[in-house]
Amino acid sequence: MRYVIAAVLVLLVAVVETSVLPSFRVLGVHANLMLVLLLSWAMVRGMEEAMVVVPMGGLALGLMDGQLLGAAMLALIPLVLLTEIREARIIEGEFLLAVLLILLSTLAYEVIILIILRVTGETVQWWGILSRVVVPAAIVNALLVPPVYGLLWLGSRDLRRPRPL
Amino acid sequence: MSSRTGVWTLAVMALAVFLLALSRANLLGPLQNVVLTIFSPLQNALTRVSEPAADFVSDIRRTDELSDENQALRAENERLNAEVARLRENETRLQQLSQLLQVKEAHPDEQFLAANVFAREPSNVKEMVAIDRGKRDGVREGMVVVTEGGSLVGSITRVYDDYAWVTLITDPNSAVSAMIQESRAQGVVSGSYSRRLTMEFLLQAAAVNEGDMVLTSGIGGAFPPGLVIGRVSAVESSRQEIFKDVTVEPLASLSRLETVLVLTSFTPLQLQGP
Repeated sequence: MRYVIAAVLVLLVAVVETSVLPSFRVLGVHANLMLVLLLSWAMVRGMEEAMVVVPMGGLALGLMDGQLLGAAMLALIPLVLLTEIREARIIEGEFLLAVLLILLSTLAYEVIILIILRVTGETVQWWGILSRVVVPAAIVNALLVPPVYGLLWLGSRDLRRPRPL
Repeated sequence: MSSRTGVWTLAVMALAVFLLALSRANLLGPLQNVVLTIFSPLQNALTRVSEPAADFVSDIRRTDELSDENQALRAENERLNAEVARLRENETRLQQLSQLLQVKEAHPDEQFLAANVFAREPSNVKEMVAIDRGKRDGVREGMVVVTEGGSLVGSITRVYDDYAWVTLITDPNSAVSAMIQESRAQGVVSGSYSRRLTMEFLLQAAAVNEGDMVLTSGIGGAFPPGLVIGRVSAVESSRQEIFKDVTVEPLASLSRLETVLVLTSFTPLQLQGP
């Protein structure tokens, strides 16, 4: 059941990301709600579910965006790898870690998309990409973490329910 | 990294690369066409609904102008009622259709296909919009897209049976051979990650002034000559540089596209090197 809910959620986010979000630019970029949702999912609900939901998200986005199918999926892989940092416990507090990880995931996502574009024959302007796209996108995505993370945490009561003895 | 994560990474990477290869060979077009057929009405509705909100957010940022504009809007709101709103919507639609007709009359030899914009590319490194016309309507890769006012929007870069993606002229990968209408000086109009259009390769000796109109030159064969791109909004010259730094403001409102025209009668040339 949880994966059905996840599938519906990622499809809805893919629709919103290709229709609503491009109209709302902050710092010259728009938010990557899919990335924020999937990272929050991994942080709140754990790696096991993230390993199923992240490819779902990549597929949903790839089916609706203008890029090659598979590009978004490939760009989302580092998200799961970065979530493993949680195990190292370098920062106390899951929420702060989520903010840190969204900054790194955004960097990885944008760079991988650019590499795919370059490999498929497009001209990529590496100069200025960090200041014009990556840093603003990381900040905008970080601003989205609190509401998305909070909603997911509230909606994950099943994980906090005491197990019967 | 745990061995389970390692296996997962390899498996998902292999799947993604496999999908990329199939997609590059245009084998997944029918699947994407089906998905867009299902979701495009929802995308279209959300795009239309979100535009007023997006305008509102954009207005908030212009705080200096907000006070005056707020007063004007308040006065306007008092006069408006539901009936007037409905009539204004009809009037807008009529104007769009009238502009379409004017473009067709201005280019009697050209054939246009009207299309609605229903989605935008979510990535911050690409500038693309999706339209509700595809192969079945005669749309092909490379076809040129203009606004209902006749100014250049971009070109078709991906086509499915019923839908197509248009790469806008503001896309960082876009380059359009262009000329200044007044002086006929030629250059290339390119997009960038800041959504700014710049005209490159204009020599320091070229006569360029703010407000000059920029048109397609037709060189290269990818775009027909004479299409309006925009106006020169800034010119910077430096004796140390070979070329001028020219900024172009697109005439079309590329962030608020609703209806566009696909120029179906123009076939772009695929020039080969010597």
